[in-house]
Amino acid sequence: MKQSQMLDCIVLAAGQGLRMRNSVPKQFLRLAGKPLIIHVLETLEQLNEIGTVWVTYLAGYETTYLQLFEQYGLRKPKLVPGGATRQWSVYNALQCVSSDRVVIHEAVRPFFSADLLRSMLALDAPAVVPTVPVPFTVSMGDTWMTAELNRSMLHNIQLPQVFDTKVLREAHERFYMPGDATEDSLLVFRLGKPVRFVPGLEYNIKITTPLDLALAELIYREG
Amino acid sequence: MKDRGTSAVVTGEERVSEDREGVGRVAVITGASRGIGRAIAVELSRAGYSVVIAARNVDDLTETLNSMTSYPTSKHSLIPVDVRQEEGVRRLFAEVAAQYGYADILVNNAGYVDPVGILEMTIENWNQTLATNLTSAFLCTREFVRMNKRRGGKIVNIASTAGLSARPGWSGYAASKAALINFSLTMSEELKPYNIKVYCVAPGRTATALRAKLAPGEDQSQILQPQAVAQLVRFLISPGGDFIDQQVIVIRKPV
Repeated sequence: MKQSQMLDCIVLAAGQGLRMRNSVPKQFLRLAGKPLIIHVLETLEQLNEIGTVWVTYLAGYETTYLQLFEQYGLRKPKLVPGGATRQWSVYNALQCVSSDRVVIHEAVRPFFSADLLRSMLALDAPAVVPTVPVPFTVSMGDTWMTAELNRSMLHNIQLPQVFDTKVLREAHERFYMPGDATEDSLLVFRLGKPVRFVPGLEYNIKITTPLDLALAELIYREG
Repeated sequence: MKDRGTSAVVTGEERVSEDREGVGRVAVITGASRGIGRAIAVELSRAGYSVVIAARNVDDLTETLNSMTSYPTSKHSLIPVDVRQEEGVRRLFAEVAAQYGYADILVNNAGYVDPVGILEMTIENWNQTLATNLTSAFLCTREFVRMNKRRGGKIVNIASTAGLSARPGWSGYAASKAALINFSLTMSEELKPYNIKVYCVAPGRTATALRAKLAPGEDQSQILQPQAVAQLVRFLISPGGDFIDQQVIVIRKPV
């Protein structure tokens, strides 16, 4: 594994944001006046370890992405078509990746830190994944409880994640169907490869609902 | 463009022995042809900054340039420009980039006033006041941020105590300065991720030609002198100013 090589990064930004109940795709929603995707891309822009940033785009919005890249003077992002599912968006972008390792992040998680990513890059594993503890009780079942889960053994998985590109490609080829994986380390795990957990950041929230956006404003103001 | 290059003009009375914290740093000052802008240009040149002075009137700018101190390490430039115009501001920063590569400091000082009551206020007067006092700051700030979002910097906006309270007969001026104050506070927050600090200085009555328009007949020797504002700006853009944030800094002569 070449440690000195600049890594490609995939930023998932092709979502329609249906849970946000907003006509604007959530990656373009504004936090402190700036689109969520720009918060993410500006942090990546400052990281010398990151080379090209492959941004998966929502069809019909190409001009919006490109205009934002230009307005904010971003040099790293390049567009790649999003897929019908999150998994297939990653698959599409993986076809463009040329580095031995690849970082995967998402446009609606603006509070990740450069320090976190650097600490993950220092680890040598097929997949490096930040997690935070699950602070509430969880159980399984439909109408009736069918199983008890020990929350001390559970992990809330975050992004960004770092992968061995060859391993991730293999996982995506093997588990291409049904294409509904909600994140990538699961695919690597299914492939039988080790997935390394590292402590994530409590404030590195994913902005999915209007409540998340309100919380994000608070996090941003508190710095 | 007139450029004094490295020609040193240091007279005996200039404070050559003091610290020159501005050596190697570039400051752009708008509205530098007179009054507070000129005083800031003179003060920063003494501090060793390379200073770019911008305004519309070349003769007045030249007078400012001739008042400035040059050290072998500094290089001053005069750029005639109308900072109310988007194209003019783009050109100003393009020239700064071509000559210096960057600017560390921006002082938005361009100001205009034609004080009349609301029934006499023309749309031309209103628009010109807002364009000079507010829009110019927006345009210059945007270009400065484009230039510096990766390397940081400092912006000082020269507002006025007129922006803090009611000023009958000065509605356009007072409104534009109030807007500039809020613009400054907002930019101070918004530009933090780029390590760009934004200060807002609100001078009280200051002995300038602009003040003479607002208060004809006033004894200007009895009010705040532009040099005092310039010294405050010099402090803010020095490392000492790093600990000041998110406030309107009022400077006025005690009554």
